[in-house]
Amino acid sequence: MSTIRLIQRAVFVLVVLMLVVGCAAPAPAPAPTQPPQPTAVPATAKPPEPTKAPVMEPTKAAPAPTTAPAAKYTEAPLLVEQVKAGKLPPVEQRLPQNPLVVKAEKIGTYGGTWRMGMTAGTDDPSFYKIFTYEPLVRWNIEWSDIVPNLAEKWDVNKEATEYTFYLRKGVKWSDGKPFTADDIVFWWDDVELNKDLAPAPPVWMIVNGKPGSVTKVDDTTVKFTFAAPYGLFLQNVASANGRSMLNFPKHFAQQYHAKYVEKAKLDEAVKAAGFSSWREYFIARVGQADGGGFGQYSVAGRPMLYAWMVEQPMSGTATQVSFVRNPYYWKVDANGQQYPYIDRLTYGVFADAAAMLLKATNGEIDLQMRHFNTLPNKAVLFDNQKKGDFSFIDLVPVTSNAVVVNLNLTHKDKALREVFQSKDFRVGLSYAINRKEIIDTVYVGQGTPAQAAPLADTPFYNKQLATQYIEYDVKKANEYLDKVLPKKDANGMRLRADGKPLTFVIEISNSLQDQVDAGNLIAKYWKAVGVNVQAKPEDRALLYQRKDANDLDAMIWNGEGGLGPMFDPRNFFPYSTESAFAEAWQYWYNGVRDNTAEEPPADVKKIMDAFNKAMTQPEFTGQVKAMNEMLQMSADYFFCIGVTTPPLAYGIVKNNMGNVPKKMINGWQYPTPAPTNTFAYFFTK
Amino acid sequence: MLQYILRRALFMIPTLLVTSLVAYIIIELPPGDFATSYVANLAAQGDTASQETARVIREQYGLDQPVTVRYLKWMQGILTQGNYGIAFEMRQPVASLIWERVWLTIVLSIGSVIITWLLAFPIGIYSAVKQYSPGDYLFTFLGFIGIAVPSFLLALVLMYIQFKYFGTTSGGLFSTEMSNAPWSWDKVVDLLGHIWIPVLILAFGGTAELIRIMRANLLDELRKPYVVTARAKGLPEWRVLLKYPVRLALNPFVSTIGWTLPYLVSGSIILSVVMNLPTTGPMLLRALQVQDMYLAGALILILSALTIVGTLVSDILLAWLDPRIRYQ
Repeated sequence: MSTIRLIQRAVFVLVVLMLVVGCAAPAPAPAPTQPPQPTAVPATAKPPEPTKAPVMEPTKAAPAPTTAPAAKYTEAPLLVEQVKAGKLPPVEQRLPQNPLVVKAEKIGTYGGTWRMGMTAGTDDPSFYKIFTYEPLVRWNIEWSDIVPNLAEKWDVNKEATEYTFYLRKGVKWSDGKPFTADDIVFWWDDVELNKDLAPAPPVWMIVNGKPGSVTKVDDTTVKFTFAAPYGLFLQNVASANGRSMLNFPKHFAQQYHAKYVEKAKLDEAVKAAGFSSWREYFIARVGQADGGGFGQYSVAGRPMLYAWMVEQPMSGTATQVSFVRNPYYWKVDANGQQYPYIDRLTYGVFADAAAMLLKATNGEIDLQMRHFNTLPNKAVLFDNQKKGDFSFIDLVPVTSNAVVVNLNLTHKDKALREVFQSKDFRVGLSYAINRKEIIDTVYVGQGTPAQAAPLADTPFYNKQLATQYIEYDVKKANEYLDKVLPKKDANGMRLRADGKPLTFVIEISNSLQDQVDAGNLIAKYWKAVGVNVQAKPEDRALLYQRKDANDLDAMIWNGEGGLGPMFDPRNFFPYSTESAFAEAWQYWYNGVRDNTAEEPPADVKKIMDAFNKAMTQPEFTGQVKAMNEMLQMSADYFFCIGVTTPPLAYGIVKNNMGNVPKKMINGWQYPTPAPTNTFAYFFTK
Repeated sequence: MLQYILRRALFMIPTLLVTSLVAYIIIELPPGDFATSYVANLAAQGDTASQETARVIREQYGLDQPVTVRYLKWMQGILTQGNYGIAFEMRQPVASLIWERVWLTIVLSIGSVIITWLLAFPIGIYSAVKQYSPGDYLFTFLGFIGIAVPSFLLALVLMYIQFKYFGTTSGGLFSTEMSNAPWSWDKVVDLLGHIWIPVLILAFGGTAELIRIMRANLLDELRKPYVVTARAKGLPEWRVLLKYPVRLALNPFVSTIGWTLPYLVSGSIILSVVMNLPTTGPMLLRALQVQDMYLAGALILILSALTIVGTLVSDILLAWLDPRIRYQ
């Protein structure tokens, strides 16, 4: 009898345990994403009082429903309902006086949800590249010019030290509050220059070692002033660097800011929200100084200037994030229909790109060009095109080269450094690479042999830089190498000047399989001409740490600056820590004066000066001319060894999505696909 | 008994402290820190972050301070304020990120234990009593498959079948409408509608193992003289069986309670990643990859604590179940 009781008891204990756990589960679930002050913004971001008369409306004469503006602009059915219910003012009162008219290829229809996937980590670019690219001025679709955006027009003084932007009058944040010059001044004075929020102001706003200043001229005019001519400023504003500028709605952000809130009150709020400093609190609720991170996406209904605003916020446990149309978006199409066409964006949060791939093959992703869109996955997607009802978009890479070998010209070992610094040695190694074979075996035939250089069809193309020493010629290779290291050991491997065998390691990130494969082939080719090299794949973080500490012999990475060499000339001279071929010189160039830095020789310094000169040209044509002088010097120096032009990347798009270009430039400074006007994409019926 | 429990509970404190220290050191071991992996991660996606950004991140999160200082600060925060630090990547307090996942992990874990037991217990008894019968062979065969096939592979096969023949994709513990909704009865129902697949997958392997153990243990017991005596005295067969042999054979069931959580966290990470389950596994994996050490440390600490508590529970149950266990 007792046995039965025992089992009964055991089962009972278990059931109770399960129930306790099961019931307890919902209770402690926190709501981390809600702002502490419930008055701040309601979850759905309805504008506060629809009854309040907007400024531009005459107070006495009630507007007849047939007046001109009413007929001029139309809006999405989703918003019509809200206007009827009195939750929103009519569309003409929400739009600015002079909305930005963007002509799309086709006039679209409203509605639908654009489904995408993202990874759970540092993936705010998934938002930025789709819809949060709304700088003061933006790139045109072709990436050839800068066009107005939030700023209607701008003035530059003759010396290129003063930039004045005239903001579009009447633009409102997504909560209906006006957007003014104060918001931009807040970004600069209270966020970027606030030591608590940003220990140092961003590099792109610093000229001659001095941060620029931002002043309000009037409500819709803002002026940027720099200590010296700064020709690339507009380009920076139109690119990823400018993204943080419009992230900080002052009326919302100030409730989290120490300057605007009483200390005791703020401390209490910080503690209540589980943070240990107001900086963390501000970053989590408003955003970071660099514009990255998830702060601005983690509060539902937070005021934004983008076409869509947060509906289901991003959080650590979110498995889906969604954005809904911003009723105050300030762009219209040629017929006066308010953008965006698509009602909602949803992002599934995935731990694994394979799960995303499965969704895509099943047609559950509408347009995407990140994460699962790799060359190996292309075949799977190709086979499922019909089933998933999607097709491919070509993405033209802005990178200059798929495989760039960086020999460490500033190696800590004097003997190796001397060998690497010899141009003949690098030329010999370049001739020894069978580029055709790498292209055929690693890149399925996509690409042409090339050095790391700006791509053809850009004003920066330099034939010498792009095509020197790219033939596969073992005899020539040996000739050049013999000039530097004529002595060989019994196995035919070259000896250094001090008699020791020459041997070094090429480190490669194991996350980039194509480069690992190419690296192994390159090691094979070089051994064939007597240079004893090992290819070593390793963890990316380790590789980066060793690179930054100048501990590498050589490293493979892809080339940058194929289309926009001014933004990232890392392969053309020791420009940033990404210039893996000369970390010590690069540190010197960037003003570091400790034992990691080393003054470069005069010819390298000349190239640095040439780039600095290009940076200060106020006009684009002047910049191109100065840049080309710099690139010619770089070609003569021959810093690093490229292999092939990068293969085309691809995205997938549902067949019922309209206004999506079939071919796009793929970049970061040009954050694809945002500059192709994602707000004008639509679903055909 | 009470003294036994108290002593065991006291032992837990140093164990936890050591665990936390070990966890922290392990997280510190790989080269680089969150800032390096942040920059490298962006670079791999074709984006660039300046070295300045890395420096700023390091400064902001105190990564430039020595390990010991950081550990002590971390422990101090936990012990005095329940503050587990900030998750670097999400820029949110760790505590607000992990609890929901911890609860879901526990629910998944206990659910699969119960299913495992409900299946393994009767099948094990049957297999032992009817040794070498067709039924025994059938379960043995299934059992070997269950032991041999890793859970994530099973999940992949199921997902493929679902995709290929039913045109749907699975994954997650909630439907899309419910995933971000606050907890409610509807959400619990939604959870129950989704959780059974991973629970069954996880239970499959465990069941097979326990069937084998149960069968072997029970076979040992069944041949002992006291069983023969009991039978000779004319006790009905089911009482002969349940009174002592089964009770003794239950030992492995009870003694594995404590291991359930670590098994779920380590053994099911791949399953959770593949099926996109919002449990602690994928979060821990991600945190380790990007060296989000406060998040990873907190997860390891909490799961260790739960494991230690689980072991205590199974010790107590064992002591109560098995008269051979002494308290001294």
